Amino acid sequence: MTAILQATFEKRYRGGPAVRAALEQPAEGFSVTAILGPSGGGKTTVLRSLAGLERPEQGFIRFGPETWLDAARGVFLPPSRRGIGYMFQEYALFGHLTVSQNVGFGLSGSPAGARRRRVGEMLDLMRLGAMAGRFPRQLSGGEQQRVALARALARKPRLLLLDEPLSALDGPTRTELRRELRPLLKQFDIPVVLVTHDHTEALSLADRVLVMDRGVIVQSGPAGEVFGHPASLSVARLVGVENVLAGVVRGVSEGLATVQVGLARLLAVVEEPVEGDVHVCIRPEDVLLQKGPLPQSSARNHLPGTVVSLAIDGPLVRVTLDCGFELTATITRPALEDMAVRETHGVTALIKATAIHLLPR
Amino acid sequence: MDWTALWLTLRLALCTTAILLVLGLPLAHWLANSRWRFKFLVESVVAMPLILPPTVLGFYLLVALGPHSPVGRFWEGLTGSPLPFTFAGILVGSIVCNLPFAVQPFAASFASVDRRLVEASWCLGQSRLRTFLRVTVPLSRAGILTGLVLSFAHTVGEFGVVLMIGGNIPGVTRTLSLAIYDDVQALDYRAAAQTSLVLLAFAFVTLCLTYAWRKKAATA
Repeated sequence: MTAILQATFEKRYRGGPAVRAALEQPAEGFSVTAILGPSGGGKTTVLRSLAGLERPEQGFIRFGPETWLDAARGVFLPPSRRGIGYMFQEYALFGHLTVSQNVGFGLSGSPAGARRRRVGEMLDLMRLGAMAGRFPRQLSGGEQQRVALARALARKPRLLLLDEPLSALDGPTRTELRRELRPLLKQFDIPVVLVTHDHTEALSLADRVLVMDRGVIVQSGPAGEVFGHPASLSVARLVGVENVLAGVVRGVSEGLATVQVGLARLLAVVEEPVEGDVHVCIRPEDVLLQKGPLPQSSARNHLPGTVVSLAIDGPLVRVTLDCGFELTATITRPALEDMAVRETHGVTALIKATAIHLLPR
Repeated sequence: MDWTALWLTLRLALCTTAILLVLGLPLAHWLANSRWRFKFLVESVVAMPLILPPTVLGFYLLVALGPHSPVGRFWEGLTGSPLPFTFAGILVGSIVCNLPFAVQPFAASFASVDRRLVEASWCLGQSRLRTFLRVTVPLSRAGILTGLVLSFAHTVGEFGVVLMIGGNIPGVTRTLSLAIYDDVQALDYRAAAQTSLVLLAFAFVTLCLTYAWRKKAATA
């Protein structure tokens, strides 16, 4: 039997809603679970409870054979004895210590020589060698983030917890680190739980996604499934993109990628090099529907399909199409009435190449 | 200049400051972090010497430490001599009346340490005690220094409590501030002026050094 991290608990706040969570993940080997949701939705409480920084009133947390929390029996292991790594949203670096002292902070139990070697290893891995003697306030946001990660990983934790790992960074640094983070974490071969409000972050970093809203988990499952098949409208809104299709890049030329999705080939604008398996993300409001003969159009992607279902949502209608794969479009009610589209009707979906977003899979 | 009184005063101030460092840090840590609902009672007791007349404080201490009290009897059984009118006696009085001068700056600086840094240390496997010593104390050094300097300086200037508990015995309980009082009573204004000037200069230099260091610590 493989060891698992298993947590089911409830944390109550005075005057606020309770946070309920249920989570299961292998306790060994590399895997990433992302807890996705709006701020104030209880995600950080879940992460803090796993760390032992909050003590839920009900439930249990088990890590392999160890019990970290068993509210009914009064068992509670303090954070210092859980063997975890925790990265805070604003990094929480020690301002009175240098970069290497920060990274070595958790290694105080090991002999000086081993500690120095480990700190050196971590600084090299994070490309922080030149910063060793500096203080945190002398570093850029991206460098601080790497110090915080190095500090959390230096003592070889058994579980890594990341609170909004990229949200304190500016745009370009963030995109760059988002690409680097997963391969980097993979080297440590440990389970990772991260919290984010950014669905692209969840999709590009995680294997499994838990969507949380107002203290409850509204959906959980493999990333592709949660993004591809939101269980409800509220989840669909939280994950932002409703159309997440599995695709394979067939070629890139002059900034345009040809992606195979099912039998169809789509053209997408790419800002950074991509290859191989990708998630093809299309927001439903970016899908135009056309009935009858096709006009000359600037949209590069034309997908013939059949209307599977219509769901009215206020002034908008969500139209689900079968184009060989499932595609959702959002159009206005007057548009629907003008086109007189019904279920089983044939339509063509038009998507501009700029509206298709590719994420490595 | 009464050199015996100066030496006695320095000894008293150093001992008071050292003991307050040991007692004050854990007490301040508790005050800064406890969520006990009756914490305000302890806070009030600690702050009391700030507003009580030193004679009132001195009177109660004299009674509490005297040979008819349990504390007094215990001490006498232990050392063979009573507490009042001894150096140990004025040291106890001095510690009690300086408690707020040490504990309040300590607690204020502990409370201002970013909570997340403490949590980060826990998550890096450090116990509460190690976290206190490696994170909270270094980040509170300005407040700790302020508390120590205030206690030291205030002990040097303490008059009422020392007089009530210690009397005015040369070489045993007669501190500089008592010496000044004695000199004035004896109409020896020259000696009083000398000693006063020493104390004035001491107070000024101490405060200048503290503020300069605090400014440096704040901008570093």
